[in-house]
Amino acid sequence: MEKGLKITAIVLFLLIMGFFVFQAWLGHKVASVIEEKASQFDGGGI
Amino acid sequence: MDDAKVSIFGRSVTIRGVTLKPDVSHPDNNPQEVQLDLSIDGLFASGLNLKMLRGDAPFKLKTLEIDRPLITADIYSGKQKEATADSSGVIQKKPFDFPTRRLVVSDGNIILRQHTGGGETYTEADDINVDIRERNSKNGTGIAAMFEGGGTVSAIIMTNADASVDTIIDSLSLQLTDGNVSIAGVTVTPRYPREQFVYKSSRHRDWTHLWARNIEFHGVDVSAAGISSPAGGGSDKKMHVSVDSIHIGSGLVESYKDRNAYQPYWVRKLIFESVSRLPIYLTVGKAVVADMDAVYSELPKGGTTAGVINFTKLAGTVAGLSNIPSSDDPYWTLAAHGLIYGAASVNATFYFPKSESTDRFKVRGSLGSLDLTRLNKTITPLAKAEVEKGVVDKMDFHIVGNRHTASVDMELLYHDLKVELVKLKADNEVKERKFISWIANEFVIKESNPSGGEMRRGTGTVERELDRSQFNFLWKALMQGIKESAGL
Repeated sequence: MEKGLKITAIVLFLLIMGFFVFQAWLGHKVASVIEEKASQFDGGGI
Repeated sequence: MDDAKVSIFGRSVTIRGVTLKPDVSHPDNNPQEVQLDLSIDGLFASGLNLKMLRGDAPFKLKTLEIDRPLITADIYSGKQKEATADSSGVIQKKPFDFPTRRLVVSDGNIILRQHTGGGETYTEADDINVDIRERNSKNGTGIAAMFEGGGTVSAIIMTNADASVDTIIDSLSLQLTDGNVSIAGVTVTPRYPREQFVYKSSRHRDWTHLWARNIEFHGVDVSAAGISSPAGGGSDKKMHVSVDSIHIGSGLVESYKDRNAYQPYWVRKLIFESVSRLPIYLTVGKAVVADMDAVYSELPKGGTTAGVINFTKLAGTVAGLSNIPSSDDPYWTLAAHGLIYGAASVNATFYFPKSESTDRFKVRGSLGSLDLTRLNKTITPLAKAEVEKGVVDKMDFHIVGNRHTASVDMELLYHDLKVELVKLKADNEVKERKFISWIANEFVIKESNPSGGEMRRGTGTVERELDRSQFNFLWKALMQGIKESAGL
């Protein structure tokens, strides 16, 4: 029972950590997309 | 020549109906240089004196009156380059030698065709009326000190080498006595629709249309004898054009950029570089634009709808514009204010260097309260994003830059920001990308600044892309500040 709790805790910990890592990665990707879109703005000949 | 009359006692010559044409079949007349056709209805010259007068002029007339001259000149590129080099360049040994004490031109017309490798530039000046007299007492070497009188030209029409843009200067009037020049209007009109211009013009430039009305120059003077650079280099004498003030009553600038079109690479000059690198010395005490609108449209790659930014009620003042280096006052300034998207006040003051030896410039600016949903007509086509809600409370920024980099320090305060990342369907219908929008709003973009009692400053340094515009450089610096302020 105690062992089962430990494994569950570790799995939960890994899932939560994984979620944060995934969120950071996704956030970074979305930020890159927004940044890339904004940097494409040319501004014309003036 | 129809008729000629010489009066020996009156020391005058009257000629009527003169037509002068080069014989291009003659071996001495090289058609690759300059061809000049001249026709005059009447010419009256009085006070003929072939003796050498004081100065270098071989002869001097008292009065030269020319009635209805029509001058048509064809200039070929080699000769034109020489002429440009002479007039711009730089070392002027003596002031103007004017062959007559008084010049009167009635109803003159000039047509000038400059033949270059890329085509033929065309300039036409209509209804030229001039009455210019040498001053009896000259107290300087500038044109204003040497001459009085003036003239008018009803229109100057210019077409560029690939015949893609017409420039019309309407009703020009010049008063030498006070150095005043007035122009009723200037219009620059592309010959092709904006969607076709970049493809049809030979240099693939962006489509730009502009007009300005009620343009007045006061205190214009040209010192042909030149001045030396105050920064040293005594032999570096250049012609000096000085203007006390310029006033432009109203105007419009429209520009359209198609990012799908090929454009050749060339390094663009920044605004202050165009001034500091002029082949003449230029000083303008003050230039004021009273009321101007500007509209910029940009079509993204693969897009069918252009993003639009518009400025209205723009007013600006240029102060101390000069390319003469000064250690006491090293910058000229451009201060402008107006409305962006017809709603938010925008202010900016640019500090540009006078000297070519430095490239450091500064910009201080601010933006007033703005409902960010107004940005959607720009960012939806260009960045595939929409602002669902959000308000800028204020933005202050300071940019310091040079030819290659710019650093920004920004304070951007906003609240309630929520964005949607979208897809544009073939029929331009906007479809939200819900999952990515949720990620962006929850984890990437901060809803407010300040938030959690902390204010984020937008700082950083950006590199300039040398082939892109001044506006692009400024935008990159601002984007860096906006990005940091929004938590990106």
